[in-house]
Amino acid sequence: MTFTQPAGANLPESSTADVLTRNGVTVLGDPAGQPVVFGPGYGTSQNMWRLVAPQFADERRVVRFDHVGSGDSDVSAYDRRKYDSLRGYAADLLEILRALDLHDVVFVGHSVSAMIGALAAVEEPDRFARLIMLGPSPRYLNDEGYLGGFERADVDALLDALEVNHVSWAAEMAPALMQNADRPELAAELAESMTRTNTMVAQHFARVTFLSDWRRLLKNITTPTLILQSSDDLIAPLEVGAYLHEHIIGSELVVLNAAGHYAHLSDPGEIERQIRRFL
Amino acid sequence: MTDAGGTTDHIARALFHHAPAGLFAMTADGVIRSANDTFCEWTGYPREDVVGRYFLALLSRGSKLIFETRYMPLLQAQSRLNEMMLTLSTSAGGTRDVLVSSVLDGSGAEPLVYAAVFDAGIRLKYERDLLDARRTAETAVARVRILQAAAAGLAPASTLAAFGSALRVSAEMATDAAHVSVIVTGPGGTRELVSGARPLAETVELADLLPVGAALASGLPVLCRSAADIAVSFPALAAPLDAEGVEALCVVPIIDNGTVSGAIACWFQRQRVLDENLLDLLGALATQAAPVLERIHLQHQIEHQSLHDSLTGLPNRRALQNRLRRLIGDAERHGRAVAVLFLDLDGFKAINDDFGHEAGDQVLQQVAVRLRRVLREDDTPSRFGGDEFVIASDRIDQTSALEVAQRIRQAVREPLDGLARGQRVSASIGISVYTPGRAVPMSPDDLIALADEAMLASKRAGKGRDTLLTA
Repeated sequence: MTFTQPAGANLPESSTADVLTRNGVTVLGDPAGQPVVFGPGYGTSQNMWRLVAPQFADERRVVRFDHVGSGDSDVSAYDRRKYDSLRGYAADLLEILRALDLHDVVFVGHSVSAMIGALAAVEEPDRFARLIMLGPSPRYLNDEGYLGGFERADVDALLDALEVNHVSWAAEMAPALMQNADRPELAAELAESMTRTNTMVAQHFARVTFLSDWRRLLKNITTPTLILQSSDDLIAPLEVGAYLHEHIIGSELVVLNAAGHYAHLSDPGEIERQIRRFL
Repeated sequence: MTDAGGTTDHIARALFHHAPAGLFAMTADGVIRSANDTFCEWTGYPREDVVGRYFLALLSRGSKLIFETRYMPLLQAQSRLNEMMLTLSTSAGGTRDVLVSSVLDGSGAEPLVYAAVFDAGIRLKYERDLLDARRTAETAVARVRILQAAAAGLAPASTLAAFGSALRVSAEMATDAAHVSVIVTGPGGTRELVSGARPLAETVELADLLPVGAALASGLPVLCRSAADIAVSFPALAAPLDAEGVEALCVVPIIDNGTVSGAIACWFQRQRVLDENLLDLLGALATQAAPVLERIHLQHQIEHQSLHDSLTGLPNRRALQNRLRRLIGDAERHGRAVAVLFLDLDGFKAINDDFGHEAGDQVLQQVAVRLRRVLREDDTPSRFGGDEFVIASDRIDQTSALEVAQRIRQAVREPLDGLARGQRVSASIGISVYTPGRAVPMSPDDLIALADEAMLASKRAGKGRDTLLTA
């Protein structure tokens, strides 16, 4: 293992099937078409792209995936050292692209996936044709001369809330698990243990997402980049979009009319139009 | 209570507005469409400021983050969410802790979220206290688990590699660091990486890896929590470390009885808080490691002493026999020859008598140095006893054995330094060459005895010469 690789990066490379299962990869559309890969944001799954991604299936190859620890991924693959940095997630993304032998990739990343895509594109620029960032932020915390929108205490409140709310999430999951169970008490136990794991992952991923600083990475992005910024995105305020636009050479910034942090749900048609326009 | 109006509609409206819970409906984007009096009252805003506003705008900043990153995605995924704890930010600048249960209704033309809000100030405080207690307990448990694992891993370690590996794994568990390197200092301040990867392995010598050097030199932990910290503390390394993805680092020295004997270096791929708890834990690991490292060093030293002559540093008789046993085995397998050169100094006794034992010791040390200088890679010198040295030689034949002997005699004859400066000694050498298959099998002792016999023949023949016997 060379030093620059993330911890736990598999050498020799994991088999194609392993990678695709690990990240719950789904593929649809024209196998010969240009690949468009959609990355989910923090706390969400590939399902969030359901109103946008399929629209590209008629002439393109549409790939969706989940980050390890979220959605349909294999949570047993969650290695705290590997995922202690977005680099671990970027390594997974590159493995997916290699496993499917994808080139000339259009990567559409929501929220934290935007920076994961940027890391991957800096690592292997030849594989990427376009980067499309929806609600991205290189740093969520305010800093001297930089407005990220949050203070350390806000992130601590999130971390606390993840833990405090763990009880109600376990209660949420139990009925679903109990439906087919002969022994409901086991389902409750399972729900508790799954929720514990999910809470651990959600907390760690929250730290890695919201306490990282990737501002220094931006100057190294050479892939043509489109920044889609909602006018009222709390997670990524307008100033952050402007900062990204200023620091990613040759990038294009589009400020969407309102639409919040989940514009791909609230205004999928506009997101689809913007992606098509930029291709 | 008096008649509230009599009609069912009226009661329903009163119930909606005066229920002891806040009720509101919002769009899937989070814009409030309708709210009851209780909810408006809790926020402190008049109805017209509540309806049409994003629910998000009524939350504290931390809760905004929770709402956007957990609440909304979960509600989208499962259409229902019960008892999520959130904090309202009131018009008066205060806060109100609430529990929010919501359900997503997609049946109408526009999907709506119906939410019920319960005052949860007291319960939330209780939950927070519980959480704090649990966190403290979990931190303590994790700490004990890591220290126990370290103890179990370190106890059986008898090599530096095993020591390093056990310590590295424990430090990885403790820190989640992308990479941990364990560095051990050797005699003369040398540094050895005994486990893990380290940054800049291709471009910077371990001795010049400043953060490690700083911790080893000062005996104090070195901490850089961000790339900016690295740039301040180690400006020259900032760019190269950045290129290798190092965003934060921490090096904790291993100190045994006041002497720094090594370090645990953790390299992170994102900026890290590196709080007191974490540093304490790494410090405890280093404290646990120190006596183990000392024990391994002592074991190595004892092992070395049992196989080496303390005066000259050459392998001793026991090491010679081990070496010869291996050589004979190899020679038998590969059908090649083994030679033993038995060397006895001529004139040593006179120097000892005339200049004293210290001078004699110096002569032996100088001869050892000269032997090392003129021998081939396949020749192993040893001090056999007194003024006798024995060389075990691999991959050799009679001709090259005689050449080696010739070089030795020339080197030994050079004028001496030290207390016996200008004096000379010479070497009488006996050589035995054993080619397996051509003779009866021979033991190390047989070969040494044969070379000894040849040496005596050289002495008898007039000293300062070689005699070769084959078997």
